[in-house]
Amino acid sequence: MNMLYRIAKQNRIYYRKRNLLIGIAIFLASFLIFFISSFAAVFQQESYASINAFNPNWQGQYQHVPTELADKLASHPDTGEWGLFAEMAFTELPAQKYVYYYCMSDDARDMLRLKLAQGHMPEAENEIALTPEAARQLGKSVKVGDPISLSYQVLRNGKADYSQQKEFIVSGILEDTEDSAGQAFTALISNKLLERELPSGQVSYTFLFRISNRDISSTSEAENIIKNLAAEYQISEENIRINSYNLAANYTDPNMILIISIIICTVALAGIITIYSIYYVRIQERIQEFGRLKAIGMTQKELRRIVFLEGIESAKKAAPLGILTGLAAEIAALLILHANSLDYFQEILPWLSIPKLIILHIGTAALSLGTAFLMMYISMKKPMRTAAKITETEALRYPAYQNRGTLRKKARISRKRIHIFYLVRNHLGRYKTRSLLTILSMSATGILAIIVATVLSCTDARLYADDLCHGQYMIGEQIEFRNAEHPERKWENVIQDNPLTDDLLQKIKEINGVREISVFDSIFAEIPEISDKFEILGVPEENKSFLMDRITQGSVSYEALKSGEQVIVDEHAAKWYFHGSLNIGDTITYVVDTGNGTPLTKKAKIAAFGDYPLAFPKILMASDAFKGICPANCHSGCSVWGDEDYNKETENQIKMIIEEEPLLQLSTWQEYYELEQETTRDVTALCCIFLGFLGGICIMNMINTMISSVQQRKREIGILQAVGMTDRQLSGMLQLEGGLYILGTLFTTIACGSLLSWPVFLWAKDHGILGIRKYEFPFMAVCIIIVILIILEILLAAFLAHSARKDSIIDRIRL
Amino acid sequence: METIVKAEKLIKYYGTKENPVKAVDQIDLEIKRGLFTVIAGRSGSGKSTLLHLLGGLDRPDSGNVYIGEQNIFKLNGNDLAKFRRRKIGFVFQDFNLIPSLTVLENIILPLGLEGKTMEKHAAEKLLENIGLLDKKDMLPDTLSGGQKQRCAIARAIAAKPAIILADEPTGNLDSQTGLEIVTLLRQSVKEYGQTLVMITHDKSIARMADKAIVIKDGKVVGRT
Ligand SMILES: Nc1ncnc2c1ncn2[C@@H]1O[C@H](COP(=O)(O)OP(=O)(O)OP(=O)(O)O)[C@@H](O)[C@H]1O
Ligand SMILES: [Mg+2]
Repeated sequence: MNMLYRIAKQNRIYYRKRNLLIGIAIFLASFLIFFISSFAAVFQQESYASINAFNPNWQGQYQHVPTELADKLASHPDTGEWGLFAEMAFTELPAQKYVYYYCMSDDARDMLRLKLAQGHMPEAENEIALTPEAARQLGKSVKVGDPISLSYQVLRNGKADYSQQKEFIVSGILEDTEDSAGQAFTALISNKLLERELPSGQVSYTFLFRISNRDISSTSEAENIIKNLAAEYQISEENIRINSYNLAANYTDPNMILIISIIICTVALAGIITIYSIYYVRIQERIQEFGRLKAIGMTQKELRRIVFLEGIESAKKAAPLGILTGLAAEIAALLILHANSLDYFQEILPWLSIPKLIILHIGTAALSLGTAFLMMYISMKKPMRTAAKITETEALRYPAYQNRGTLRKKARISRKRIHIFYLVRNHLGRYKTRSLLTILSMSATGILAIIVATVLSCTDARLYADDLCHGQYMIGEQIEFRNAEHPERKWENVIQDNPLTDDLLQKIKEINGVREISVFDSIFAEIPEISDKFEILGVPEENKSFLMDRITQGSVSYEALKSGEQVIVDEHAAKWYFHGSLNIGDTITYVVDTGNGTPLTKKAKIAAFGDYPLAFPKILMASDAFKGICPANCHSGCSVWGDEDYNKETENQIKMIIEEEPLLQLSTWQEYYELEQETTRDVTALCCIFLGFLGGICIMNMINTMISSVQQRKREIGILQAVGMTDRQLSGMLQLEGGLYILGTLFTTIACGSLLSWPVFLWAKDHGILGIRKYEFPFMAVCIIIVILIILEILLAAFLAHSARKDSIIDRIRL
Repeated sequence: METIVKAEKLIKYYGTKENPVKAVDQIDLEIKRGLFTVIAGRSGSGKSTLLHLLGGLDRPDSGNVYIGEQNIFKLNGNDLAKFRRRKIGFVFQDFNLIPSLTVLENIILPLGLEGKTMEKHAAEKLLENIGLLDKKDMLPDTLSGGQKQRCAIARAIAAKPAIILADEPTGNLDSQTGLEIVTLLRQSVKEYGQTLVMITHDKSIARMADKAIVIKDGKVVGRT
């Protein structure tokens, strides 16, 4: 065995260059696997630490919990730390912003991370503590001890009471953690005030808690505990909130593990293909050598062992080196990331468990080492068998110096004219397996890139914005049913004197830059078994695409909807309110109050379900049918289509027109678009980085193929040059060769990529990933792939031509 | 008689500076047009190195080679390659055929690189001359050694170069076949008015030559 080891070692030294390639592939693969998995692990640990340090750390929340139930929940064995708060009142600010007045237990406050900056918590009835942002939003500047006069509406049984004024003393100021762009701001009041404002029966609490059980390990287990506990006490599903950030920070997310494993498998696969094809080529080249060893009495088993030992020898250095480099890269990446946030780092440090990080790194190192050796073993299996099977005579038939590929032994019709292209084709045909392997491994990255790009391009911010905003500007009405202070917001009152008059609509239509407007009609209905109001939405014919494009189940024509006997129901509403008991073909009964005092009972058949932007649960019908129910002016919204995506001037003009009407609100397509763009950008950057690395491994394969195709053909190239091939012709030949690889890769990439991205798209759509709804072919990504490949091939061919010229013709012929 | 190849102070050393292998050491020589010249000498004396230099396959450490009026080492790589494929044909000891091309394709390869091809009857005549007409569509691996060498000779003369340089073309063949090969070479040389320079160890072949050059340790030690 010692002898075998020595032969293997000597061979490795002799074939240093080729081993270098394998080494690089192993190095890259172990580098990548280590870097990705440990960086992801550390990054995750860090964001978990930061979640644990800064974010609210409750795990489950039940809303509308009466006091007695709160006691029972608190004493349940699954409940760990817990807290309670009650939402007593709110102050409505312009632009749909609110300040909420909470009465909170100390534990709840801790879990919500509300910390006092100055003063003390409210104790007396007239004391209040609030965040600086809440004060700013209320238009007050406050110090501890200042008097402050606030008007608020108390919430009684979910209904907002009349506005009332109260004099407070500021007892404390909370830390300045709220964002001025937010919608809700916090003020804390004392228990005494709560008791005074609301009789104990009317208070509904929110119960927050952390899970006590330390044995659970996965987020799904934690979620189940929260849901089961709710079920035990008949808390309905819409009242449960789960803090998935906190769960993810403290338990393992099975999805995360799945994603990391997919990444590792992909990297390993790319590595296997690369190493395999390097070995495949190499063994062919050394047939004679193995034959000789066999002729002097080496057994099959020993030959196999030699090949194996040689492989392990190359992996032995490359894999640890890859891991070390990965570690260095990881540290560098972390340093760069934290260069500007040392304070932040210090604060999360106590939440980071150093032993856990070390264990994680040992784990990822073992993982990359294991994968590297496994890769090596799998890709050597076939070459080992080939080496062992070589017979002595075979060895003598093959000259030592060249791999002849697969030559057809039969005669064939000779070409009358030999040109470079013919030489290239002839060559590639001879090395079919290797050429195919190269193309396949190169395409693997490309295909993956196209799939990812498809998913990303389907998450197009435009589509997302289109989804949420119908038209470039959307005018809506502020509809509220349970606010005593604002009875004018009740829809039956709005339609008595609807501000969305034809006159106003006409004015909007005349604004410069407005192409078209379309108007929706609404009325609100009661459905016997449901407590919330249902919106009946009338969609005009010119907007039927809004209606039809969003149908997800069943089918119906706009014509068929005109009679009002058939309607479409929003699928979310069906799911939330009917828990899936509604089916296509069922009849739904609803009662509408058109404002004239006599409620009207209507029946309609459900023709389809669809996915519609939701403010209220909806039943949708054609405008004609709608007019039949309510002839009054029921305009509830207006989509404004502009000439361009966004124009400040147009927005301002619309704003001016609706300014007079307090009930009318404007939202723009642009707002949604910008919001989504930000999220997409980050995801895209991450995907690009990963694909870049993966591409690196696959490019190794292409480099190997090209280099070995030059190395093996050294002699042949020498002959070609001896009979008069110029350097330029040689470069041309190599470039053409690379070009064919690129062409093959492009073809496979685009064909398989588009084919495979379709099912992936469907899957993502079904699972609601990133809000994907519409298929978009990623033209941009395909163009980028093409450009990268072309640049690559030019560089590579130039490099090869250079290396082919480096040694003299004689050296090559002598070989 | 007109000189077609002329070497001046050719030097080619291998090895290290302290311990040089003087493969070609200050060689001056002239080769006359239309003659059959043999280069002889012990193994390792520098014959192949000299031949490669004469044919422009390799560049010397110093010295010049003129072919006709042209100083070939003044040409850049591309031009030298073009010059070579027009003026010089090579025949090697171990044939050096491209295994994936058929006999005929191997033969017309140098023409193909020029962007030319061979007339059908010219090709047939050439194939007939070398006795491979019936093997023209075979791949080289299926040929015998002698057949392979004949194919290589046909490749060397296909572009009708002025000079044919042959490095032990008979080295891998039995003496009978060897003689046939040399006869074939001499015939074609006569037919096209070419100049033949051949390295050989075979005394009987050397005797057929018009001129002989003997090399020892990279120096010319004898001429006839
Ligand atoms: N590329 C090289 N590197 C180092 N030494 C070389 C190289 N090529 C040739 N030599 C040396 O130069 C000397 C001359 O070699 P050359 O091949 O010219 O001999 P030769 O006369 O053709 O021998 P043979 O009759 O055996 O073919 C030899 O000593 C050889 O070892
Ligand atoms: Mg020699």
